[in-house]
Amino acid sequence: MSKLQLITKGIIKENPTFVLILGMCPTIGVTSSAINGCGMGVATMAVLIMSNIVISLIKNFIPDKVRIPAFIVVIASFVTMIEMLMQAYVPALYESLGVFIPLIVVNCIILGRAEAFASKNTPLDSALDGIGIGLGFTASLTVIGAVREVLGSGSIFGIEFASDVMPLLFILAPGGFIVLGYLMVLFNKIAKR
Amino acid sequence: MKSTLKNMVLVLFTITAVSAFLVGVVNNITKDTIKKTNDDAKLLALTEVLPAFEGEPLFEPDTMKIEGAQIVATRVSNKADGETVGYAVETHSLTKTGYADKIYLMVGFLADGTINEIKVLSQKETPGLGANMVKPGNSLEKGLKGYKASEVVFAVSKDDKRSGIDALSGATISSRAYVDAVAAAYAAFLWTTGQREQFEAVGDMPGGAVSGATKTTEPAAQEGDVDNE
Repeated sequence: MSKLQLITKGIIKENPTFVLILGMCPTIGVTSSAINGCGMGVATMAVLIMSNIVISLIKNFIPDKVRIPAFIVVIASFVTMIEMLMQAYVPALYESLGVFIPLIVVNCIILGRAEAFASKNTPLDSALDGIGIGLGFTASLTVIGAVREVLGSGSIFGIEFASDVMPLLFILAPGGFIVLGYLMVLFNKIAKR
Repeated sequence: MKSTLKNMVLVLFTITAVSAFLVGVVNNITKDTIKKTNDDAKLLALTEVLPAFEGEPLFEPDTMKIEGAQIVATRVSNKADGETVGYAVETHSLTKTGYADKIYLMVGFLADGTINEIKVLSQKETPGLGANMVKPGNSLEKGLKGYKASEVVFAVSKDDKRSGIDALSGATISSRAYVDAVAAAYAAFLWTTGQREQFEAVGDMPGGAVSGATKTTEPAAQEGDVDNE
């Protein structure tokens, strides 16, 4: 598999949201607006790339039976460090993402990629896999967020055009499931061509 | 790698020790900056809810307990001549919490008790509904801003016909909490400016937003919620 394919497969063929169906909890939870989805995606990508690299570097020293706790400690440490660094140096971004950041630890995409990819591949390939999956997750969350924001609150990226007439349902969780389901059908129909 | 008790213990210990050390290092590097950022943000919020003025501001915070909740009323004055610019009260909803969580506000009062500006510090209400309270010029702000707090009936118009505060559309619970928080701020303002009689009266208001407000940690004797459901 070429290096470029490592990145593109994460966006289309192994899209974490629409194809692998991983990380559904943050997907429904944060996609009430496009900007929230996008921010969560980027923060997840940052953690994913770093945890993939580190886990790939230390994979040969970890005994099989304790690999999951070892991975989780690495991931949780990264999330904590990123949270503190963001709070200190980009407070505006931290302010808007604050509640989602600790959620990244339990995002199964990160543990899933550590287990399925980083623990079997080189650090470079793992980093590229992290970028690909991260981009795929960011794009999916942004699209779901944009659709829900347009249908539910009549705005896009915070710019309003019809704020009072839209059905509220799409902002709430049931609307999230409906949008996710239809986008999944659409995505798979297009991707299978 | 094959697992033995020895290497499992050793590897896990090493990983947790190294992680803990790195997290500690980052914490040490960032903690001063984080504290400074938070303090700056709070000071900025203090001045934002009061009218702008020339010169250095002087802050005199007064922390009090109203129904067990901690509320900070800060007197902001001009350092040069000591003239009071106003009072910025950091408050949150007391008896009525919002749809998701407490609602934290910064309310600016002029010295005569006029509500100058209200700023939402934090809220977790539903986007598109309760979260609309952060939008400038929303119906809650319209019913409160620029009015003398002593003339305001602290309730949404749905609950009390005499009130001029319309709830946000589809978000009555969030709106009640918001109004409740502003009422608590007014109680704190009265207390800190020494207007004790009026302070007692806030609890007897028709809306009953701040029920039996006292400067103690004891629970209020009676809950003044008059929801018309």
